[in-house]
Amino acid sequence: MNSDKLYRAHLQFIGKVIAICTHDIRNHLAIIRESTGLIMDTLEFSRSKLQGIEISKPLNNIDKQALKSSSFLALLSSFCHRLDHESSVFSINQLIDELLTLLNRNLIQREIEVAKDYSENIQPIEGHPAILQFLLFCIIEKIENKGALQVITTDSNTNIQIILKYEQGLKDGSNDLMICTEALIEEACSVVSAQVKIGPKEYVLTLNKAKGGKT
Amino acid sequence: MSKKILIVDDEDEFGSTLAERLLIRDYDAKAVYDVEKAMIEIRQSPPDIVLLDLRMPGGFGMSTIKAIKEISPKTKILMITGHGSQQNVKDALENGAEGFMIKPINIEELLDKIETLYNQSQAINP
Repeated sequence: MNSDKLYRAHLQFIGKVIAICTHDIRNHLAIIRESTGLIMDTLEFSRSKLQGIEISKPLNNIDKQALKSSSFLALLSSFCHRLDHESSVFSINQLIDELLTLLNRNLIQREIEVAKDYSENIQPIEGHPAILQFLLFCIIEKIENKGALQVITTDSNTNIQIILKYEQGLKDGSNDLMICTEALIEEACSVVSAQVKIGPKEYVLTLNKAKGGKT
Repeated sequence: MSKKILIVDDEDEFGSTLAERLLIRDYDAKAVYDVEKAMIEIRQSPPDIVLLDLRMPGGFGMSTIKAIKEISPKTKILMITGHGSQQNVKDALENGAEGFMIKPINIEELLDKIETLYNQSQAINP
C-alpha cells in the first residue's frame, strides 16, 4: 500500500464493513432466538393462548435466518481473505457483488436502491481487489442518501469499466467517515491502475487490463 | 387493561415473532416495520412502551425518539438494536430513550424492563 493515509483509510473501511455485517448477523440471531423462543412458548403456554400461531412460521424463520447468516459469513470470509495477498486474481462482478451484499444493510438504511447490469463475459483479472473494493466504497459513500444507484460493468479488449450511475446528488464535500477524500481516491486509483471520470450523475472507473493486471 | 406495546423494527420476522411472544403473555403487542407507520400508530393509539430499533430506513433512531416523545410524552421508549456502538447507547439515553437492549435479546430481561418502565410511567401518570 502506498501511504499511511491509504492504509489507515482502508482499515477504517474494513472496520465499517465488519460493523455493518455484525449488525446484520445479530439481527439474524435475534430472529432465530425469538423463533426458538416462540416454539418453546408453544410447549409452555396453554392451548387457548396459542390459537392462531402456526409452528411452521418460527421454524421457517430459523431455517431462513441460519441460511442468511451462513451465506453472509461466507462473503465476509472471502472479503477478509482478500487481504491475504496484496495482488490476486479476481472476478470484477463477484467483487462488486460481495461488496454490495456486505453493505446491503447500510444501503437500505440510506434508502439507496441498487440495480445491477453486469457484462457476463468478463474474464478474471489480476490486481488489488481489496483496494478496488475500498475505491468503490468511497464512491458509494460520496453519493447522497435516498435514490437509485445503478452499477454497470462493461468489457473491451483493453479495458474493463465499472460505471456507477446515480439519480441523487453527491454529498457536499465531506462524508460520514471522512476517509474518502479526493486525494485518497486518486491514490487508490493509482494502486489499482484505474482512471476515474466523474460525469453528470455517474462515476466511470476504467481499469486498464494491461496495466492493472493480466486477464 | 393490557399494557400496550408497539414494536418498531424493519426486520419483520423479528417484530412479528416478538409481538406474538408478548401477546401470549397478555400484552397488547403490535409490530410495525417503518417509522411512518409507527408515527401513525402512535398518533391513533399511544402505546405505553415502544420497542424501537435504532436504525431504520427513513429515520435514524435519535430523531425518531424525539418525534415519539413529541406526539406522546408519556410513552416510554426502549431501544432494541443489533448496532453495537456504545456511543449510540449514550446518545439514545440522552435523547429521551428510557432503556436499551442489544439483539439478540433475552425475553425474561425484556419483560423485566417492560414492567419497570410501565411502573415508572404509572407512578408519574397514574
